Amino acid sequence: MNLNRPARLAALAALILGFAATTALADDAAPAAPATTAAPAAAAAPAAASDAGDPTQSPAIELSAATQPPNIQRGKLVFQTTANCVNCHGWPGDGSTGKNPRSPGIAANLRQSQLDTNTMIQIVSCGIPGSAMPYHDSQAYKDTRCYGQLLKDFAPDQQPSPGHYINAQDIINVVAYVQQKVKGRGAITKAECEEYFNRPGAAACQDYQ
Amino acid sequence: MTTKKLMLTGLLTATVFGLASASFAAQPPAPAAATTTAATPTAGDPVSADQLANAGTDDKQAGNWLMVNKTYDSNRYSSLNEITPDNVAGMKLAFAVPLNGLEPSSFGVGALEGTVLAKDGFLYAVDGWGTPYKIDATSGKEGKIVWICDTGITKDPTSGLLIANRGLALVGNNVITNLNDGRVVACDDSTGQVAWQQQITKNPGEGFDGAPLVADGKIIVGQAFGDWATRGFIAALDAATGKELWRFYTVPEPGQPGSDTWKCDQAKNPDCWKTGGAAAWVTGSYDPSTKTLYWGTGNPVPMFDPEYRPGDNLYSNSTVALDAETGKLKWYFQYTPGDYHDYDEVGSQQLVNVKIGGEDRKVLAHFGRNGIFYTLDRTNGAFIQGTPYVNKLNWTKGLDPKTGLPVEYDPSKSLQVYGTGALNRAGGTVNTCPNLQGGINYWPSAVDPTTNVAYGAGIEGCSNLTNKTVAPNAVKAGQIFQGGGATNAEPQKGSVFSYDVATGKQIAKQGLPYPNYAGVSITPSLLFAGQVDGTFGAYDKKTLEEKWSINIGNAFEAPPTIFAINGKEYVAIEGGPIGNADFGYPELKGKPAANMLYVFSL
Repeated sequence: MNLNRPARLAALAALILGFAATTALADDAAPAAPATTAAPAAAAAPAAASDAGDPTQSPAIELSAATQPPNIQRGKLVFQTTANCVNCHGWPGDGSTGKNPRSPGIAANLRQSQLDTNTMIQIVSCGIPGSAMPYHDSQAYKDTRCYGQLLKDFAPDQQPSPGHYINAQDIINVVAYVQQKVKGRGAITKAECEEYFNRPGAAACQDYQ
Repeated sequence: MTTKKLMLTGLLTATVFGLASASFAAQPPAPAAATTTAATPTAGDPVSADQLANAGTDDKQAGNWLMVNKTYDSNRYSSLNEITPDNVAGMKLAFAVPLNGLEPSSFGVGALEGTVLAKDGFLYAVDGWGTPYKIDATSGKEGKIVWICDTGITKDPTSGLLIANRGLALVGNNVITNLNDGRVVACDDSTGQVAWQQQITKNPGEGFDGAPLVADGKIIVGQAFGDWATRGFIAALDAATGKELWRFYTVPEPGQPGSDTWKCDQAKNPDCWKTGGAAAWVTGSYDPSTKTLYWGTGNPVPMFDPEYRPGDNLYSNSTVALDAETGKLKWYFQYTPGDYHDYDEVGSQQLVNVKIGGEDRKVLAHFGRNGIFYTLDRTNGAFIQGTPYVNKLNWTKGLDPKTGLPVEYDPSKSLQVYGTGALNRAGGTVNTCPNLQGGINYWPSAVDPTTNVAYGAGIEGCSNLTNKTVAPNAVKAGQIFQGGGATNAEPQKGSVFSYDVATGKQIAKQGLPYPNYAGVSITPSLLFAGQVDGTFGAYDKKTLEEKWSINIGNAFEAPPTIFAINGKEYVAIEGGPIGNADFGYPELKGKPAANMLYVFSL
């Protein structure tokens, strides 16, 4: 569905406000964690992005690229399959539980993330050069949308690595999922696990209370 | 074949192997009937103990590949020599067979790592879920699926396991598979129906993914999921019923010999041995003359946090020699005590009879994941020699010539510090070479028994390791437990190489553009190997130069099988998803894949 401009602005506002308004838009249950507080976009920018200025000025994916409201359920699917975030971050996003044993295993703990929505969109889009976090925007480093840099600007062993490419809407969807359903979560619970796998009694959940 | 003959064959098998007609061991889940897709299943002759024992020497077996590494000494050497360096330019794809099993685990798609077995023109393939396929290749032009044995495996998308299986075993009229849910299942070769099944593992997280080995009338299996917070073991089952006869734990419990190498109390974590790993996830070897099994074991768990499990951690990273009749330990050799580099030593344990210094020696040759090519005296485990076979090795300055242990090893310390520096909870990064995946990891090497030259292919490069402490109460059996992480220090390369077992000296070595993650098989004149970029190639065995190759698109993480149909030589190999074996190459990352069995010939 193509949203008109006011709807897109509403979606944008929802993103900036940490998805406080998204539960009404997404076909998902109420968030388990409190909605994130709206933080100034640049407040928690990571080191890799620190010289990129205000991420809202030149993000890889413009928030206005969201032609539809962020869809948390779709974002979960992107996390699980399309972008395969779970390969390194694990199903609960803590960077170790349930990850691929042959993955690098040094992924960030998204549950403890301090990153705001805009910064997270930028990192999913552009990756973190010099780390194992890959970029997911197919045009990243082909133009200067990511930190103003091109692939050739990096030494061969420092080049950012590509992940599974996902479109702008899905980058926003997956960030919405992480912001809403992963970030800020405490200890893993059985209920959270069974909700993630959408299966009561899932094998991965048997040891949780 | 007529029904009458089928029944007779079945009767004979039952007599020879003592199969009671009611040998269905009642175990959940109830298996369904096999998917039979060919009109006339062919039973063939039962696989006998003699056939297995003489798999490498009996001319009648020259065209077959009856066990995962071809022979009990794991030489992966076929005497077939129709395809040679002179004519291999005419090699082509003869036919291909799609396989099932791309269903994902919770973190993504699995891998195809299995060796295909070959018997009298029929192929036995396995997918990542351990499901056996019998394929009629007798025409040489097409692979017709005779049956797919429904083991009743739950393809659980919530599984946190790596979905991979490395092969099958043949015994009597049964095809044996072992599964990641801890069951061992016999599928009837004639019908593809489950003949019996046994739930061998009892604890959460335990299961199998290496190929079973039939030896001494037993089926030998290894608990594979050490990195999922479990305790490794090797078990022997009655070949006719699957009933467990003995079990050897690769991590001793308190009070047993070797238990003092798990200083769990020092870590204020008295149960650390219970999740100590040392998994037996790759098939070992067998010497029928002494009834000795030789098995490699995996890393101590968690791999990157030695402070969780201080001590040498026996019998991790070891070769263990076991009495096949009793499962009693005869000797062990631990390659990297108290390891923190993930250098488990499950790879090929090759039994070679060779003259060293004018003396006839029975040796065990092993390309260590730690980058060193070892020879041990297989009668007692004594170290003979060790030579680095990777271009860069920094984790040790060398081996003690008497003990074969790394020179940095200090038996008085509970936390070892190797040449790479300590990896511990204080933080920092350890740069280790070779890559934590090897060298050679699970994928097999080969030995030419006519020359006693060993052949392998692997990774050239280094890893950066970091520690991430996990609290004991956060450790869950069945969930991956590594205590840290690793990245490729730089884009990794590969190589293919040959070494003289008698001297430990390199004979030939060639670089490969990508790391090899699949292993090798050899003939009198050629070495065959698949590569992660989809290249399947034939290499001159003398020089290891590539003589022919084709790129089929899928990644190869499984080794080749060399076999014959009516005297004509073929090579079979499974190809599929690349998983995480892209080693940082953007062109390989996340490639689409299909699970396929390819068969090549002139």
